[in-house]
Amino acid sequence: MKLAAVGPLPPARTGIADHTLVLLRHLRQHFESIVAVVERGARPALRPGDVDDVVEYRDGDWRWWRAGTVMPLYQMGNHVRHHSYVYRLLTRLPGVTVLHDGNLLPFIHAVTLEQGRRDLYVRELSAAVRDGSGHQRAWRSLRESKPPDAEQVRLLDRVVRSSLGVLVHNTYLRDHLLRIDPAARIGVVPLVNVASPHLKGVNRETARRRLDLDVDDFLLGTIGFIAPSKRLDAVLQLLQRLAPSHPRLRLICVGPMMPDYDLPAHIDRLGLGERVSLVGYVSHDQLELYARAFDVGVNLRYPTWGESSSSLLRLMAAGTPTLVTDAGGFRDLPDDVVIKIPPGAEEMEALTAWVKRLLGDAELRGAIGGAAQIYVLRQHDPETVAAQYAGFIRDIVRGEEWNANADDRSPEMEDVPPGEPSS
Amino acid sequence: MSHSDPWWRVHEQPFRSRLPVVGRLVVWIREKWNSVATKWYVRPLIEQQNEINRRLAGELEQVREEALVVQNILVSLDSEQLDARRVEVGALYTLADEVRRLHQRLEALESGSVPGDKAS
Repeated sequence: MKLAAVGPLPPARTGIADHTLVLLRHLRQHFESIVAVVERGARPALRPGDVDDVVEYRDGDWRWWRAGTVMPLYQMGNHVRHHSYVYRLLTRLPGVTVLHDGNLLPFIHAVTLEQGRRDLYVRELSAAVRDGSGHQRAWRSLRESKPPDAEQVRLLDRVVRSSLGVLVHNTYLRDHLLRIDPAARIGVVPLVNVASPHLKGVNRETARRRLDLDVDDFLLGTIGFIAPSKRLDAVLQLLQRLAPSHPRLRLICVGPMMPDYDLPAHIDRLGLGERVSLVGYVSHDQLELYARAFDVGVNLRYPTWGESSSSLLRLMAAGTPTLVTDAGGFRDLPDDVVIKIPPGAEEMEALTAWVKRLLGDAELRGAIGGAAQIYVLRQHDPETVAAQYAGFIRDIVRGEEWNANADDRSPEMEDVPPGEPSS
Repeated sequence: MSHSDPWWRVHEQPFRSRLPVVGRLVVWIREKWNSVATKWYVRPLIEQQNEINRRLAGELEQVREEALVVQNILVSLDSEQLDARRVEVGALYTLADEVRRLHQRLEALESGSVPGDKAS
């Protein structure tokens, strides 16, 4: 069987691109050949042998598909620039879709209405609302210039119904997709660990020296895209609360900021300019150095729709104890590898209590970080994950019977040794 | 307009005046003049306009209903197309794989070796 990898690849600045590249290198052994189908103008940074061919996407040109002998593996996320062509293809040519996001409403909004395509917007909503009221809702939302409620309309239906199978990274999203179509083939596979092997021996002190960070500071840190759903307003409030008693407590945010999100102004209002650093986009290696330099990682997310979190994986792989929101896909993680913070009214108190505890207990930090590192090495090993992908695709190609409700675990997870926690 | 009136019906409007003292007189004069000069001319026009409005409103409602039916048909077709494409392309992959494996088997038989069924 031949495979077509459709989705962004480095140097595209997205976690999905990094994930896909590592995955491809390990998928290579399972397929006769792999062709990368990339967006127009993309120049993927590939090593010789990563793939057999690279094809630029062109509307209507499906020669790479070779009349059904090449199975497309779509990497679908919500970045308009990198995933518009992926969505266009996956809704026309059924294949296996890896769904990294649990809510495509903003994406669909951007690729339809923002391009002046009201017809496509109405069509998408019509497909998503199965009781027949979709187009009425669409017209109403257009008349009122008000988007539909994201809790009710996540616009994942077309992805599920266009795909021969969908792979997700947590059971929360799997269960949501099965509610859309109980007969759909939905599998759960872990993200691949993309940590660079050459940084393996770099400890916290070394990472800080390389990044010119003070070794005596207590660093809270976030990595990845900075958006309101990352709950940084709560973290800033926490910082303000603990600042008087902990003068060396600091926050470092590494990653690009969402347009229109004025976090710097919020930091200034709270008078935390001296304690918070916004680093912006950094290279792959630097990102990992930061992940290693932090005492505690912060990877809160609310609301969450079951999206993949490669930033959490990087923090865990670095052995950094990390705070996550006890919601969505994070609930799949065992309790001893991350610290789960309840969302809502209890969030602030739980955050404060946990950070206070971690500040004074290096042993606890080491235990959680160590457990996280072992967990990632076992569960997110690229070779094992690639074998799970290949198994899922093989079953689909061979027309194996599928009953998602027969077993709570998806079949590709059967390769995981018994007793191991699932991702 | 009363609540039972349809939205498209046109009505004669009574004369009003905001003038403090002579207002009632102004209204009386206008009404008298209207009954002599324009009432018998305007009333048939109003009736005619109401008939046009009634027909247009009926047509509009009919077009709306038809558009709704057409939209529902399109949604159904879209849905059927999605399902059909998934089934057909899925079957195509399965058949292509079957052919590939038969080729491998044939080649192995021809060369006298045991067929190795490479993972997909």
